[in-house]
Amino acid sequence: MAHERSFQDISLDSLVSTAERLKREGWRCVQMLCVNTDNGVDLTYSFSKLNELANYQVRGVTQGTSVPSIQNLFLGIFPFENEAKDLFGVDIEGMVLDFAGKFYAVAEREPMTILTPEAKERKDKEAKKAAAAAAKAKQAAEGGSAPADDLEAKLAGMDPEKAAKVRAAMEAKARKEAASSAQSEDDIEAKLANMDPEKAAKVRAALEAKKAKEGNA
Amino acid sequence: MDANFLITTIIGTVCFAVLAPVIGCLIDGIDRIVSARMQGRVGPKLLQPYWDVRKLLGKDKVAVSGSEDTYIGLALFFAILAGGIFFSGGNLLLVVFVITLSSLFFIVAAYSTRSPYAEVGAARETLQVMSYEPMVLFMAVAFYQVVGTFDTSGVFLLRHPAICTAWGAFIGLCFVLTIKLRKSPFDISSSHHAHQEIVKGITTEMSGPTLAKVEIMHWCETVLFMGWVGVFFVFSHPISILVAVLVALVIYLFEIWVDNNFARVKWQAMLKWAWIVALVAGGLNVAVLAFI
Amino acid sequence: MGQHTVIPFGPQHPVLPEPLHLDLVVDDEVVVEAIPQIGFIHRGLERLTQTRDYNQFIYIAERICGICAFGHSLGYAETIETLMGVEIPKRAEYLRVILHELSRVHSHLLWLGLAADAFGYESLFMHCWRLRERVLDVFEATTGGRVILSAVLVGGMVRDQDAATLNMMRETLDGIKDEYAQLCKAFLEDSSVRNRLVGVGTITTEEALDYSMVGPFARASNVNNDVRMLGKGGYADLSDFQPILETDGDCFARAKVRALEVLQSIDIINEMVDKIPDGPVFEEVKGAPVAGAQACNTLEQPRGECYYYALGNGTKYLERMRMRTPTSINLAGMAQALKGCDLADVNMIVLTIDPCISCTER
Repeated sequence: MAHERSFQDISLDSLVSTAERLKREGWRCVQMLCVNTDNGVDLTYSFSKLNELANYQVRGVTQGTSVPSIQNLFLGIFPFENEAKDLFGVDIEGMVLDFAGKFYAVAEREPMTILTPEAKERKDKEAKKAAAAAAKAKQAAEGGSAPADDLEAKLAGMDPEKAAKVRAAMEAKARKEAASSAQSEDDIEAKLANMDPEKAAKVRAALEAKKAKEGNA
Repeated sequence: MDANFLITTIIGTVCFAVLAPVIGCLIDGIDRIVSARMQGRVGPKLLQPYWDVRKLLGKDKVAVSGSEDTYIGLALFFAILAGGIFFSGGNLLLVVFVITLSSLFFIVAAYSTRSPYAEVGAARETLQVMSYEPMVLFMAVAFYQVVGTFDTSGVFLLRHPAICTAWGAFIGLCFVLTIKLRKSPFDISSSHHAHQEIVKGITTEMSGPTLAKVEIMHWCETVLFMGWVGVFFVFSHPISILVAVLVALVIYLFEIWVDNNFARVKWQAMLKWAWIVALVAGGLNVAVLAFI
Repeated sequence: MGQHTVIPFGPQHPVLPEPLHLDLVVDDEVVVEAIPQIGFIHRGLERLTQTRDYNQFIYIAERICGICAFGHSLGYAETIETLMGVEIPKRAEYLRVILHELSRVHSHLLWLGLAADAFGYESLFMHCWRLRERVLDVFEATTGGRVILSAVLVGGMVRDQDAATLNMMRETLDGIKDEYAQLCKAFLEDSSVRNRLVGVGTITTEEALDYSMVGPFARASNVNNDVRMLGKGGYADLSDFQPILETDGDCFARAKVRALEVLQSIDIINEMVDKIPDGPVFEEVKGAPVAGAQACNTLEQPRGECYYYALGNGTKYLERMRMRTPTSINLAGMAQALKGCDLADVNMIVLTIDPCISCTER
């Protein structure tokens, strides 16, 4: 007997009718779990009958949406529905055994909806990476070639005032960089002038050797 | 009540108060070792019960009810008094009632704590008293019929031990002894290990010196009940006292064996069986003795 | 008394070294209602997926519970292997089944001891636990741990067992078998034990289905839901597997199911030891679960079916890990069995579901 496992999305409205149908057909309730996502909490209800294990998923239940309880059909689910309420803040309505948010004595409210700093950092990184990849993909689709145009593409998407500011800032930065490279040589000369002659000669020789080496390379 | 009786009772009680805890403590120590061996364990040292009680006596008094300690004190006093009367050759019927009075104070002490576990334990202890009391009374009556007096000193004038004609009452006594000694399967009001639904039952709320008194009371009770067992074997021959002691030890070992090898019963079963045994073994014995 | 009294049972109760709290509403000594409450030791282990990657998390999964530790690491590993589409070596599958059945033997022996203790049968209690020690010795000899074995990895087993060790395992179990048969006799034939167990806390087949009960608790009510018969992993190669079922649904039936399952487990181990193929026991798993990929899995723990769910997010860290332990789904059935029972039967009923509250509160 192979183990048949399936996942299926259902809407919140059809949850109770699905549960009723499964009850009639002699399924037993296995569990219910929540997953915290950016678009609310995903609920997964699992039912089993002989070798079948079916998972029905209700996506994106947001704060304030009430979810009907199925405890009147499957009382065994009461720890999980109370858990959903305590740890994820899902508003479950009509529970037979309702612990009113006191099933778990937790220090903070709805702890499973809060990310740890490590996870948050990782998630932000992921989001940035994903955004960059999306932009690249978009560009590839538009047929852009040089990576330098990447910035231009981005700027094009911005509002004009901000884009102008960014451009101005970048130009200023470029100017500054050019100036600083010119300046650095003058600086060395000035410094050498202040040193004692013997040492200065040595430094100069070293610098020239370095330049020659760079030239060769 | 003549002065002679009073003096012997007082002397007997003082002697019992000194000796019974020592003997009871040693019996308890042996009990623990034998139990452990039956379960395949090594068990504690012989004097472990003594060290336990000594430690309890040294603890601070922490009680939810101030009257609890007084009741336990009275229970201990009456237990010692009952032993004193018995071993100084006093009235067996009086002993039975004084030891029952001791049990009642013990029950009241548990009720005074108002703890749900202790209350259920006390209610069950009441049922236990109710279960064993008929048999104990039958025993006293059968004793009277055989010896011709309620005074325990009367056995030394017998030409045959009481067991010869009162063996029905003796069997009944052995049965209720399991209840009185709080041994499984009848340890329903308070088991030796607190592994039952009402935790430690009747003694749940007792601690420190109060619990120590309860332990000492149990030692005294054990010695007294072993005396009840032994009295069936004593007659005019002096060697019979040795026989009585040996029989008491054998019966105690038998109780340990029963304790280890039976599951705890519920109070309904205990009440039913205790009364059936009392009526069959005790009642028939008394009836037969009455017609002979 | 007359009117209703509420007797608290737990979370600190000597009968049950588990933080389960029951409010027993009693009328004299008859339980009118029992309201279970857990949540005293919630540790938030499922949330730890955020800070532990999938290879590290196996050690956390294992520490959910001290009795079914091996089962949890096994269930977790199987779920991740399903999630990532990994096949593990055949020899590792066999070794997993052997150790899993061995932990069932130790868990059931532990339970039988606890049950004996609860009804005041001290010597039976001690003998059960003494036998269990021998099983723990086998664990120590094979994995180095007595309770937390850390023997499973995602992708196989930590170490192989040579033929000599497997033989030692079989000899130990054969040695246990005789003594165990005597214990079984005490459990299943002793009149004082039967007096406490027969007809207590009866659950009918319909009720068992209604309350979605699992494990020996349900099998004693003739509900066939042993996950092992689905033949996953090494179980697929068993010549014959018939779940042990009873029809009475009372405490005695539950004790009997567990008592017989020990013998069944010993047979399974012997068969696996006979059939075990040669080969590697570990294959390194590389990469990370795909974002949005999800997998679910069930495993027959000593206490019943355990459900695992994993959701990947493209990194080595899982987005969500879920472990639904058998006790949590059995709580409703337990509350039902407690209704109308004697106060003296409460500990028997609570014990016969074999509650593991540490499991329940991940």
